Amino acid sequence: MTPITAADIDRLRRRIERIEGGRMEPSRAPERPVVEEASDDSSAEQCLNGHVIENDLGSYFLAERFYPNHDLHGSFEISRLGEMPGHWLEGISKGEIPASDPARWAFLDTETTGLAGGTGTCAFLVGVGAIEPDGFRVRLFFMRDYDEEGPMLRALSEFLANYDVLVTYNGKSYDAPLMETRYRLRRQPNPLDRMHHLDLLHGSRSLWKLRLESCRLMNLESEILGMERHGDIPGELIPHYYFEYLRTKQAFKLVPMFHHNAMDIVSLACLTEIVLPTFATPEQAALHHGADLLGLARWLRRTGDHDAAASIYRKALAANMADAELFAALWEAALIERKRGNHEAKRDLLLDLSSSRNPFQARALEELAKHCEHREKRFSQALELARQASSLEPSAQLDRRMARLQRRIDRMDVAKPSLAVLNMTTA
Amino acid sequence: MNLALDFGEPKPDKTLTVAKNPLAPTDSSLERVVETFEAMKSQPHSPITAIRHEPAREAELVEMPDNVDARLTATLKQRGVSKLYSHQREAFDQIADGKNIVVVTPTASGKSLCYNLPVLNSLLNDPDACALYLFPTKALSEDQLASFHGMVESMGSDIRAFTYDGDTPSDARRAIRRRANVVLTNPDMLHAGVLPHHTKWARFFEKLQYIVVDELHTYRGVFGSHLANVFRRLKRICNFYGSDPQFICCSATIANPKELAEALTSKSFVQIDRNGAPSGEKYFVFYNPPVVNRQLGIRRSYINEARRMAQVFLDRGLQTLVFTNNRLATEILVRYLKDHYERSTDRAERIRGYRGGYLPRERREIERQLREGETLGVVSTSALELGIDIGSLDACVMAGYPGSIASTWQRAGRAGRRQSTSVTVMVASSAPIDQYIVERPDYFFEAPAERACINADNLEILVDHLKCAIFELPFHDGEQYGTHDTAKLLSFLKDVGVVHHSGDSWHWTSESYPADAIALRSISSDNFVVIDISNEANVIGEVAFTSALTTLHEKAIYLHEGRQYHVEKFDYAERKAYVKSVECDYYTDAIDYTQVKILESFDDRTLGPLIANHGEVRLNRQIIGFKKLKFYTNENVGAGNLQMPEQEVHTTAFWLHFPSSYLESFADYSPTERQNGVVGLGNVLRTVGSLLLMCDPRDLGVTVTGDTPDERGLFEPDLFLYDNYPGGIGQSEPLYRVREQLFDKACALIEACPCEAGCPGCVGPPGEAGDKAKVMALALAAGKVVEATDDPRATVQEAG
Repeated sequence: MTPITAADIDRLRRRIERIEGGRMEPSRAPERPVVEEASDDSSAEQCLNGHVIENDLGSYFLAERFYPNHDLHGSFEISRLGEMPGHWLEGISKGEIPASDPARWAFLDTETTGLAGGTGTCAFLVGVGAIEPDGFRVRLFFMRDYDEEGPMLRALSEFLANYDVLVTYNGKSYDAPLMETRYRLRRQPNPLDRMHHLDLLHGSRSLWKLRLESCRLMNLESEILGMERHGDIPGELIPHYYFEYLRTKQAFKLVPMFHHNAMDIVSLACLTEIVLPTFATPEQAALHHGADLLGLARWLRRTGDHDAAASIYRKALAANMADAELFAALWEAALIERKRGNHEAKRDLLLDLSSSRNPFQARALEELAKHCEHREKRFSQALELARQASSLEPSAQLDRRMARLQRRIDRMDVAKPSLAVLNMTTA
Repeated sequence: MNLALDFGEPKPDKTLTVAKNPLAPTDSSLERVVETFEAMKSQPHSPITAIRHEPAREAELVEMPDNVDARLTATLKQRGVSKLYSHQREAFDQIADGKNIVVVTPTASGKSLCYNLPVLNSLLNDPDACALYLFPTKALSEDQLASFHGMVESMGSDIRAFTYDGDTPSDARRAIRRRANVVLTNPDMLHAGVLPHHTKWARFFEKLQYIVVDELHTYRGVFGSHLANVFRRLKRICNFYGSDPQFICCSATIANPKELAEALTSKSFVQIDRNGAPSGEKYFVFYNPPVVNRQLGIRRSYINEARRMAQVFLDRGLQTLVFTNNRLATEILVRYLKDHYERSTDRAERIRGYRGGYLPRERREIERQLREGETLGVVSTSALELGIDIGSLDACVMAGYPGSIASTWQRAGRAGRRQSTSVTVMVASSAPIDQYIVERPDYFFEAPAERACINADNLEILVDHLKCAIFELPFHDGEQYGTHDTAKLLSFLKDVGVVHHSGDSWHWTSESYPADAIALRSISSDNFVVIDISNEANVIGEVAFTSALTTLHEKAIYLHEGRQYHVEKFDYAERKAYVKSVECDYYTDAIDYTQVKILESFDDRTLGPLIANHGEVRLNRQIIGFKKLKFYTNENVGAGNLQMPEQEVHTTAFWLHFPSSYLESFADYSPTERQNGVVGLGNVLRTVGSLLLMCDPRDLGVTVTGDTPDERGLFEPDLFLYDNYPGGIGQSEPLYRVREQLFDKACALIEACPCEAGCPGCVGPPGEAGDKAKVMALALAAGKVVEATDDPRATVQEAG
């Protein structure tokens, strides 16, 4: 065996410090929020209000948090969770997730040792929320050290066996692959394999990305649920806290982290109750912001439900919206109406668009020109509209259209005098 | 002086227009060229310093093994392979016997069949089986994938093979992980993209039967030491999934292929080196461009001489490959050859360039044209040295010594048809190493190829990969990794807080992804795209990060296939360069400036009046300007300043400190002359150092600092010989150990050099080094105080 000298170790230490940056130096970590002073007993049981549980693979730690039905989470009453109908899953998943009793939905979120991904990232805390008759219960599966990972994963598997649907926030790209890796490394079957997975991130983004700066769960929690957290820890410090706990075993420092995970899961459940119905019954969606309605209309358009989309576009246009979104909504609504063959509605929307300066004005004029030419056979009107469009955004296509219209007008002038002119103001 | 190329006019030759028949029994015009070379060599002061002849050899053919699947036998038969070369059969049998093998046979001896035959045969029998193919470059993976697909398709089999590298789109990656039987990739991707995500590859690792490592000889030095550790990690992962793959390695000729394979994989190997492939007769010619100015030691430009040598073959319609040692030389030679053949448009079009910066599509086209005989001449960098399939050519011209014996033979192997004669000409440049080799042909022809050395237990490299290994799978107490005390290293990593001990194992506890911080080689995947905006914007090439700074700076003339482009805009942040096509009579050459700062000296000893050190240094390299050089004359016709981002590199160095008191003892020399002497000694030490280490001289950088007096008015320079790679490749410590020998050989080299006051073969040409550089450098090398005299020879004797 090659001997390693003290000088070698010194050199390596400096090299690793260069690579790892300040990460492993606790003193160089960013400011932390204040946590309560260490109590005499800083064991997990004492501080985290849970129990060490033994199973055939060893021991792990389980804590529970219960939120009774009358509790408010922000402005959201917990009792609403129990009232969700199971068929709501069908709308948002376009039928991929069959109806299922909400009591069999598991709301899951993990806390991990890093965001890098790969086999060296571990989920040390897995919280699972479930709807019960009296309220909402979050179970926090926790490994007090790496040797508890196997038992914890086993317990989690056994628990999830009672549930059919997994609900997460960004879980399709993050939590689920991570859990798959952990189960593979521990040579255990992955309980998520048999569950349907609803990742609420995608639906939430459709609804809120126009209005809100960020669709991170924390942001939706304050914007949508009206919930403000106090004494929360920043997510990026979580790995650091856990590593420190591994070294010191002082569980009181984990208190805010457990709270953080449980809050994330309650918020996830509440948001589910808000997001699902908008997709299940869009017509009755309790959305008030034009931007949110526009998001929903677009989602419906993408799924091919043009009738519902048209109706939501109308609702969106009736609500308040920023100009940029308003113009886009008018244009998209006009296209949807054209697809549905509702040419009256299309014409009205286009007339609105054509009468003010906006990014769609020229396109609206061109569409109106087509409408006049093909639907109403008013060629001089069509030519005038095409000219206006061309003066804003000239194109070869418009030139061809104008030339063709001119020829038709010339022929018509010879054939018969023009009839009454539709009163269309375009100025 | 026309002696050098007195070949007369070739007779009009039909082969120029008629497709060549590669099986023609002899090629009379090639033999006439050889006769002319022979005649030239017999004359006094001939530029031809050696002609070696290697007779033709017969194929050793053996029967196809009985247990080869009938579909495979049929496909091979279709391709004209009904029997195997003896080494192919030996490879198949040894693999069937469960052995790991390393095949060492020359270029174009049918090496790929040594691995494809056993792999395909296994996959036909077991559709779930998997194999991993490793190639040093993406281009080689693509090339091998194409030929592998060809075989699979003609068998009508559904074996699935894919390349998996940085270019693979992310949606394709998932499908490849789930479905591939054969994955063709490179060590860098295996290290950073596959192993740290092994759970996603679980199926593949469970069924992994073979690991094919082609171009084994490229995995030496630091790159090899890294790969050995990547294999250690791979082995742990295979253990986890219960597989134990066999290794099939192929190597060019090096001194120690079996030793290298064993050091890389920690497994025992059977070496297969009895070549059963036939070859035609071969000639190897050494050509030293004639001296045109004896006093200044200036020879004719080797680039021009290489061009004329190439023309000797091209004029006769012989397919020729010209190797250069850098991309600029490649482009200049393409341009010269195209210019020369401009009048016969047919031939100008049949001259192509080939180098890393060309787009893959363009390279594939050139390779195909070479195979099919459409292209007559190709000028290439080392890019064509590796086993890309271009068929075999009539002639090979090397513009400059490739830097190592192994590499020279590898390039020479590109010329050589199985049935007819071929010629290789090495045109020496005035670089010291070239001069050494060309003037001492026996050294080259009798020396064994270089040994490929790795040090898998280099502590820095090992610990880097130990971190990756823990990230991939926890370590159990008592598990050994490499030859160091693993338990001690693990507890060290625990102290710095990146691992944690729990139960009976060690776990990764850092947020970082350790493979990200570790590059296996200096080649950055961070390429610059070259966009031609003469008309519609059009991507014409991509250039690796390091060379982009020297070839794509603003106002540079970027050469691509001999055409010139003026760089209009260099967008560093976006990694793009915008160029416009131009016609001008010059090209540009960047001027770089390197500063060295000592970070830490690991050890120091006095060496006579000097202090020798080795340790860690930081290089700051910046492109500070460029020269405009006229084609053909290399006349300097202008220059410009540049503000380019500075590149910082940590590496290791061997250095010598010259105390001012010592230098001042050379009272008869001016400070500038003393300085020139130090610089001249640096040039000599680099040459001698690369010979002693058997490395490429370009692997060693040389820089002198302290070239201006310090605040006390004292001149105390440090002369650095540094590892020219980020992180260092372990050359400094051996240089430090052989420092005495280094100086002895430096003295001998300077003394033996017949020039008057310095030449490119020793301290550098007097124009650059100054008149007294040679005598001063010798004095320094000898470590004695000598009187300056007018007659350098007197000094030589005195010092010796």
